[in-house]
Amino acid sequence: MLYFVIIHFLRPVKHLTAGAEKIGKGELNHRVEVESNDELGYLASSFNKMAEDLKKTTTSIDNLNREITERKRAEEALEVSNRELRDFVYIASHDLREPLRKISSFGMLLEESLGGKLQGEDRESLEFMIDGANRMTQMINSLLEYSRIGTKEITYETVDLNEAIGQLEQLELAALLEETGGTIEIQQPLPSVQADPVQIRRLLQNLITNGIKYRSEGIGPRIVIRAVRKSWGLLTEDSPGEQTAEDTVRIEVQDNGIGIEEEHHRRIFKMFKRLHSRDKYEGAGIGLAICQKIVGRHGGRIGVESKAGVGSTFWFTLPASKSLEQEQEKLISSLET
Amino acid sequence: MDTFKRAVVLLVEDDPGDQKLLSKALANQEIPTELQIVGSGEEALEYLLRSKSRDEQSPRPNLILLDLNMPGMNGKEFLRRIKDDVDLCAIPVVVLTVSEAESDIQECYELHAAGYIRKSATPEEFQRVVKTLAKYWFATSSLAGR
Amino acid sequence: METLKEVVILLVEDDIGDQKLVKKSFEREKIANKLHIAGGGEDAWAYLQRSKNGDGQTPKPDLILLDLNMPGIGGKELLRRIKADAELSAIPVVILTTSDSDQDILNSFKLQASGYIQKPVTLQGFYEAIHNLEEYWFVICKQVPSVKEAACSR
Repeated sequence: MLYFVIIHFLRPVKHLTAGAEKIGKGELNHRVEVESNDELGYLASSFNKMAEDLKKTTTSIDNLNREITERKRAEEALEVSNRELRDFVYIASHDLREPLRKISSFGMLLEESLGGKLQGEDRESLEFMIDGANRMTQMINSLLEYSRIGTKEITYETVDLNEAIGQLEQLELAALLEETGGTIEIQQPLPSVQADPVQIRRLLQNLITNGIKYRSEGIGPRIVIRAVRKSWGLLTEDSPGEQTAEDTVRIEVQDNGIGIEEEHHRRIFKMFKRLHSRDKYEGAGIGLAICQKIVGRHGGRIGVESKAGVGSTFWFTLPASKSLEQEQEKLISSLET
Repeated sequence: MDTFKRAVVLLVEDDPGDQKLLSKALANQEIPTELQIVGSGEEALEYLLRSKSRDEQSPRPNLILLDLNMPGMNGKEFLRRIKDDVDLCAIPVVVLTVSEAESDIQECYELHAAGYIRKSATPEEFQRVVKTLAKYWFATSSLAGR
Repeated sequence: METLKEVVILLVEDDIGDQKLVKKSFEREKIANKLHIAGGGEDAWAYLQRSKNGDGQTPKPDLILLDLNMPGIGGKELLRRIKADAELSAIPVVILTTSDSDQDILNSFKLQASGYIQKPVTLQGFYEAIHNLEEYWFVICKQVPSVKEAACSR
């Protein structure tokens, strides 16, 4: 009787032991027979279930690893392609600008040497030629800049917006502000953002320049810049790939200029789209397209609130820069939970 | 090219009066610059070493203005050392000195100075000199690292 | 601030249009100048070798304007050669090129160029650049004595 009992228990235990060894060696398809309805049978079922789960997990891990390798390969290929595109755009724009420089320079040389002899229509013809060449050069420069935003790697830094605007006032925008009697006012100190400093500078420069350029007749341009900090991401239906960062900053650049009709609010961000003739306002029509691209690359959004005749408020969102203390607080509170 | 960054000028000059003259003259120019002043060749070398390790207080100069007659290490020795350094040799050095000796002029150009200017007799003349210097180096010419 | 009777500039430039623009610019300058034009690195090197003999036809230049992008011996190689030559190394060489590449700028200064000018896009810009160049090198800077001597013996 005892012998019988021992056999009854020993054999399944032996099978379980052998099974465990096999699984340990990697034979994840191995299962043990469920021979009885008792605790041993239950153990055998559990063992089989565990083996099944293990197999599933291992398969998932393998799949994941494969995906990671593929992703890496795709990223490397993208980087190479990016570099090639960057080089191509650079070379192409450079080579394209050369003949234009000749047209423009020698056109002016011609104007100089012909001096008073060139009258009326002839003079106009020459001017149109030179003007055409100059405009094309501007467009190529803008295209080059636009393409660079897409292909150049972003170096994220903590950017002090107040400082950036201050520098713009002193350097790039100094002449324009003086000419037009324009002023820039920052209502309250703006928060810092995590962004590429060169691109952000360009973004601000373009928006402020527009605010000054499209000024109302007889009224000195006044630019007001303010910030609204949001602690939730901005999610809207028509914005795929939305920034869901915890902290975004919304910056508004408001002007007292001529404003923009509602129907044009989306158009103006498109490449080379201008609302006014070149006689009234110069420019290639790419400034806002560049702004949109910069903001997009940082995972933010850009838009405008404006009424014709009242002025415009251009707004954009960027990831906020967390101060060191905030980071530390976050870390401490997450460890405590 | 980050052209919005101010050009950094390192003045190697021991005379406090001349230091002040240049400082004022540069501040008057249209192109904003950042002026760092050291009083000797040794200090200049130390400064440049610090700038190599990206010390915020010692930004790498885009241009060096160098007096020849200084106590301790003289200007020519400093010039020789700078030009021997594979990294620092890219910074143009303009000699700004009282000496008009042809041997000094010849030697400095042979040591690859990027200009040799005699210190002016009058402040007005000096203003004009600095204006031309600033226009050439900061408006007409590009500089490495700008 | 005295200046030479006549300053000699060697322009090394393969583009005919740019040769003309530089020529025009120097013609407008009040300081008497003689512009020698070499259409490439080889021509320029040959000129400079002849200039060592101190004959009136091929005087040693007081300043060399050098384009970078030229076929054959490019600007970079020529700059290297000039600075390696004991008799020529003291002559200031200023790069005048279309390239705005940071690498080209850095390399040029490393090879001891004394200036790097990106060819201006407008005619006025060209005039201004050449004017500033002249003011700096021939009005406020002292001339290289070894070159000046050769000039005086013309």
